[in-house]
Amino acid sequence: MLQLKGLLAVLFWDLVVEVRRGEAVLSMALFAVLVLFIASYGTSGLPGLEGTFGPLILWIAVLFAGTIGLSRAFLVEKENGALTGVLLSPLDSGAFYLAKVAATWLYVMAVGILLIAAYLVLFNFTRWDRIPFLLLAMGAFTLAYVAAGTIIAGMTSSLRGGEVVLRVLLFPIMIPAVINVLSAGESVFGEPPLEASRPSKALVALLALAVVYLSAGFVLFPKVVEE
Amino acid sequence: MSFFRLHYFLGWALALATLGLMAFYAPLEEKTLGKSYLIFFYHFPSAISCLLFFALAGVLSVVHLAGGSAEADRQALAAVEVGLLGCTITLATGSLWAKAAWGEFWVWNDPRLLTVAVMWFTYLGYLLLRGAVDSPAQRARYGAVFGTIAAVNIPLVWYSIRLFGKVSHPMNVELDPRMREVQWFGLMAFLVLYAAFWRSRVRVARLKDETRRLEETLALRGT
Amino acid sequence: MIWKSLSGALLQETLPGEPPLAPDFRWQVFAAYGAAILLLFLFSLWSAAQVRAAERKLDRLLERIDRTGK
Repeated sequence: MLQLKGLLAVLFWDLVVEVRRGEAVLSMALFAVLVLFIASYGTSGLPGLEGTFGPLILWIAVLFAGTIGLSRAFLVEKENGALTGVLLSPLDSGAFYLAKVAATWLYVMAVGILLIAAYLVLFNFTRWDRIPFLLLAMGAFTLAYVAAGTIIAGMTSSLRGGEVVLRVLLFPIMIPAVINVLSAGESVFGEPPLEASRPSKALVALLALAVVYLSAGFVLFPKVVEE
Repeated sequence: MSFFRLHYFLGWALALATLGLMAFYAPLEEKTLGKSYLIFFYHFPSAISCLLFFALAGVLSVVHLAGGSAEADRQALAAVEVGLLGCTITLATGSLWAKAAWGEFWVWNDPRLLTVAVMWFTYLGYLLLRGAVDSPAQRARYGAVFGTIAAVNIPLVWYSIRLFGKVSHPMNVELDPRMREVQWFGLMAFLVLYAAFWRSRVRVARLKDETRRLEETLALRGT
Repeated sequence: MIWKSLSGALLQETLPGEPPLAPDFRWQVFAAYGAAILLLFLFSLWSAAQVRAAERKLDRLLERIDRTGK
């Protein structure tokens, strides 16, 4: 299928560019770890607060650092005028959107995994058996986040003050995802949740959110890039 | 009097009539909330209006994306502006309600208050986005894209808070027949008033577009 | 199911309520009503002012077009 090949080509190209320049993932990772570091220091003297505050800061760090990745996703095209080239090619804009989402998701996930590792160290987290679930939650959360964020970043990357507008627009949209991921994290970080099945339900809900945003993006992205 | 002026006049008259009903017809006290429950009679209409207008904005955004209709975009913008107005009133009155019912001006476990707050931020962002775009066609398109995302997101916010938020604080409001009458009257009154506002905003948008079109014509002619 | 959750949302949850110890905010409620009406009134004034200004600008432009176009 031409579309699938095109999608993979864009994805591969994006990854190659990122590996060569390496700037975005590095700055995202540094920023996120610094946030976590400061939070860890801030809650170090207060035993009760660590359990509740730590996970929240983990997700917020992913959110804030992720906006760097989202802005970068379109910066590359804008710099080289490559966006027009892609649009003129037979590749469907929706497929292009999915490629961008996949690439950005990989970067944000890389940062997320690094962040979990940092969390283990800084917050003395030892519940190893819950790590796979945490990774799943992180994956679903970042997928929903990047899916919605790519649509919005596609619009704001060409605007004056676009960086600020991206954040102002994206964070209210992300509130359902944050609520769900906090609930999913209950079984990982806090005391056992009120209902044993709530975290898994929250994880499924996160995936559902991701599907909704991906579908919306697939349909709306062509409208974002049309001239 | 033009139909538009009549509409406005009717809206204001009905809104003031609601005040009268609140003061003299509705029962003075309610079981749980005492005398403070009276705020319900304009909290409820503002909340419903805000929801309706934001939903309308979502539908109009999709219409604009599907057909490129500039009128649909103008109506969507007007709907967001009026919805945001109702949203502000809902938040303010909801805050007073929270104080009466639970003793605090803001609570984190009422899904309704939180959803309305999220809507407020979301649609304020909508206006910010439109303000940042220079080209009118692009402004309409981007507004419509974000309007669609925002409208899709609102039920997601609501259900996320209901299902996965912190434990919900129960609120019990018992309404007797006279209260219900005032409630629905108030809803009708404020819907009429907000609809008048909406028409006014659509008219402003049309005039602005018309002005811009003429300015471009003049510029093209070199005058 | 959607209607049930919405109507629960709109009016009341069906868990037993607390006894009526709520403070009396009667005058605050009416003052807030006044403030809300004031806000709506200012909004309509602002909107009407914008309509007038836009109409005036439009008239001026039409005048210019009539003068220079002919």
